[in-house]
Amino acid sequence: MGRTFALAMVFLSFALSTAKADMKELEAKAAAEKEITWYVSYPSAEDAELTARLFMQRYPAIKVNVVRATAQVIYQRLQQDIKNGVRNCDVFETTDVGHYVDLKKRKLVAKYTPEASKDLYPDFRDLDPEGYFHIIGSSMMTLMYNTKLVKADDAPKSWKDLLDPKWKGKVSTGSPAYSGFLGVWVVYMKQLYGWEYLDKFKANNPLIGRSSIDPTTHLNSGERQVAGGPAAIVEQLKAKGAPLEIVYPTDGSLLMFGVAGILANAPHPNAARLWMEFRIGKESNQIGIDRGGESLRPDGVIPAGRTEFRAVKYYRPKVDELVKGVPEAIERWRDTFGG
Amino acid sequence: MSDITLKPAPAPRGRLANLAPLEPGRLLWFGLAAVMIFLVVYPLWQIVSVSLHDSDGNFTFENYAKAFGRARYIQSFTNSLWLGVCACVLSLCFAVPISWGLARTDMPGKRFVWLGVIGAYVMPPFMGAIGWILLAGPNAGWLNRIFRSLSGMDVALFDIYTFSGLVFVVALYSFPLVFVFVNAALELVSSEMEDAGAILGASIWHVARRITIPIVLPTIIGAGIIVFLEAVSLFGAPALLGTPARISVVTTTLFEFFSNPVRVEVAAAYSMPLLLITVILFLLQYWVIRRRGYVTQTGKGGERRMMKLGPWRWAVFAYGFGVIFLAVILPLIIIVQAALSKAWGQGFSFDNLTLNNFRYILFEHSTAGQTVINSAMFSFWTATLAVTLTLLIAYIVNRKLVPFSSVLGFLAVTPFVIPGIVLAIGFYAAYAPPPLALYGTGLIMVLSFTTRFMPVAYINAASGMRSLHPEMEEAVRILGGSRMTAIRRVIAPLLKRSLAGAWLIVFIGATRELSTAIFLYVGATRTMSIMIYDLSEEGRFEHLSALGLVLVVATMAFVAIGFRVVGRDFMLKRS
Repeated sequence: MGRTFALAMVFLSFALSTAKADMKELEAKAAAEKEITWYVSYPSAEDAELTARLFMQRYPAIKVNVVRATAQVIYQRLQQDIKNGVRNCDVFETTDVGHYVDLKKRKLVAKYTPEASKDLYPDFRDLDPEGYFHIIGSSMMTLMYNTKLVKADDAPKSWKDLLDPKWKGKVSTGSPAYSGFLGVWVVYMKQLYGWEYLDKFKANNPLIGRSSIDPTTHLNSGERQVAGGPAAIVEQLKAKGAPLEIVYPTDGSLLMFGVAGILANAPHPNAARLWMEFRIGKESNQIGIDRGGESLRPDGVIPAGRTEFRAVKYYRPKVDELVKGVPEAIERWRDTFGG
Repeated sequence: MSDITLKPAPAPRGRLANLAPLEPGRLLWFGLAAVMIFLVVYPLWQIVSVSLHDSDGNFTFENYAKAFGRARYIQSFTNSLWLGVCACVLSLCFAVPISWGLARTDMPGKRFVWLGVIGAYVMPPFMGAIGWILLAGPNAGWLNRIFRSLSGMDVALFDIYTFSGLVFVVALYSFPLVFVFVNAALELVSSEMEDAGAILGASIWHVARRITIPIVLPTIIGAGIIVFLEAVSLFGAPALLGTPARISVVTTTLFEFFSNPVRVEVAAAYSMPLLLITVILFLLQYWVIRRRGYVTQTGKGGERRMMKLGPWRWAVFAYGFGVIFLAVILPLIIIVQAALSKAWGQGFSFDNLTLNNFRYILFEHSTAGQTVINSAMFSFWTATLAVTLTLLIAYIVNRKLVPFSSVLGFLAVTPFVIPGIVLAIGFYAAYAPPPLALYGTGLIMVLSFTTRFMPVAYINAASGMRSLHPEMEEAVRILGGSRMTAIRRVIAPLLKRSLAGAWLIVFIGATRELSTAIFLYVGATRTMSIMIYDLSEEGRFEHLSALGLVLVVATMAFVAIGFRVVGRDFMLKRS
């Protein structure tokens, strides 16, 4: 018994040390590549900068070039690069998983499963069973309202409540033509209530921004009173004293993902791998939590009073639903709202 | 083209004789033609070419069917045309009285008004749009808030998220373009003709209407056309104001064609009718100027005196002040407030004050600092390149040195018809891949910006050339000087003010360029305006106001340097 245990320990320590040695080797190779270009839409620009800064503090030899835009815009950039045979982007991080299904089909993504994947909650592992793309962040899309202009009792409780005529001219939204979050949201609304949802939503004359983050600004300024949007940004703004509050809708909050992988022709493949390890590692995960997102890992420290997705009713989009659903949603949206 | 083919010299005698057909005028023509092919023809050809091919490279018209086969796309197209027309008319209304007031009358506060116009030009339209969102958003806009609290009525006085709101903002930041041209033209008009009118008993208004303005009418029309094309090519302001207002225009629709799945060929097809319209407008402008070609500056110096308006001079000042108040002062106040706020929506209070936004933008942000440097560098080279190039072209065209010289002039204004977004794709398709592989370099940014701003520089140079009678350079030629000597020693010094003005216009334009840059930048070549646009996508008004202020202040510093270098002649009246 003792011997087996000792043997197991030796084996384990060997395995750990090779993993460590692998990691050291990766770090050295990555440092030699000096930089990495990160096309990103998942966290806000500010959070992306924060994440990049942390990486650079840890690996001072590697400079991170952050190119951040909404999901459809950044994908457009990537498509331009690909079309022109330009190798620029190393890691592409999007909120529309359909992008990755497409890229994988066209053999434009490198297969790489980060070592750190095994540390994740099973919920967030193996998005692509073949290991081409991975969940690297998660947060919820919920309802929100301006607490100065709307009493808690009056605030909408469900997505359906946003259609109430009392919100006419008082509701705000992003656009699926830009935002990956909104794409998922429209797909979900169609599942719940059919396309009529959009027509009724239009009747309430929403103020249409681009990013899903736009509504938080519209609400913060009092330009509009209620909206759907990223709960994480509301948490950030609340902490700065903004009059905003989250409502977890009774018909289901949306569990959103940032999805990332390494491009097949990445100019800095090792730095990209190191980035992927870092991105789902403990530190980066903690930034995600501190900035209002969900924890991907059991070792994340959740602030007191934070509602995690497991505590509310939520909808987790399936990959194939989005592949077909999001382009359809964008087209339908444009026809409804004219652009 | 046969006129310009080089015929071998029949009996070459020595090396110099060999070069005889390569007379400097022709040599210059060839050099410029090569540059123009690189900057304009080839990228443009790429766009035309992709519009006529499917993704497999087969010839097809289907892209055109796709581009115009949908009510929504046609609507965007008419929206753009309408936006162009309305913005053009409104900006003429803003600019012409101010230009006239500054150039021809004794209105007070001229320096202030002039600085204000420069301020309006320095302000990127998307910053203006942001300022006006903060001012005239139907619920949270400060003007509406003030109106509500004063009147007690629960209605919005202004709504910037409307078509008229969009026209207003576009005109407010395009009128300086008209101003610069019309003002320069008005300053060249000597008072003799006005005096003639006055002697015959015409009133001030009559003289202005029947003599002064008609003399500069070609310039006004030319400037109006520029504003039309500028308005049609704008991307930032329509994206910021049009999306919420549900008004799509050509540029935002083009952006849509470029989104997944990328349909560059449809986008190219979609932009073709615009090209046609601009060609027509260009011909129209050409026709107008041809019919009324006024040589207003000759070797004999004309005198220019200011008209005495009496008490009316205050009305003219008030008008100028009003426009500047709307374009610069009001939006700047609100942008400064946002830049210094923790949360701009919470208004003016000491608790809300912070400098953190500037610290974040300038020191904490991984790339914003670099974007400031990039913008300055790109703009400097763009302006220098564009002004040099267009002066040479304008000279050749105006003096008709070689047959077909006007082709160069046409090419120089052609980029105006190409919305920045499409131009970017043309450049992308032409020069991103090997052998040149310029994608990701600062060079492709400078070259595309140069192409984009060539029309402004060219029209400025051409109108300058038109006002210069050839007699002065003929003097140089008679005395044995070469053409280049004439350009260097006579034309350039005479047009110094005009060229410096053009340089500055291009420089400022390049610092706020967005629609071309947005498809050509990579992380390392991102400019401030892209950074601001990216920030605006999330509505982080505090950060983007801070960066926007840095942009405005930095550009203003360059303007001030321009004043120092060029002296008081610099875009200002000469007296």
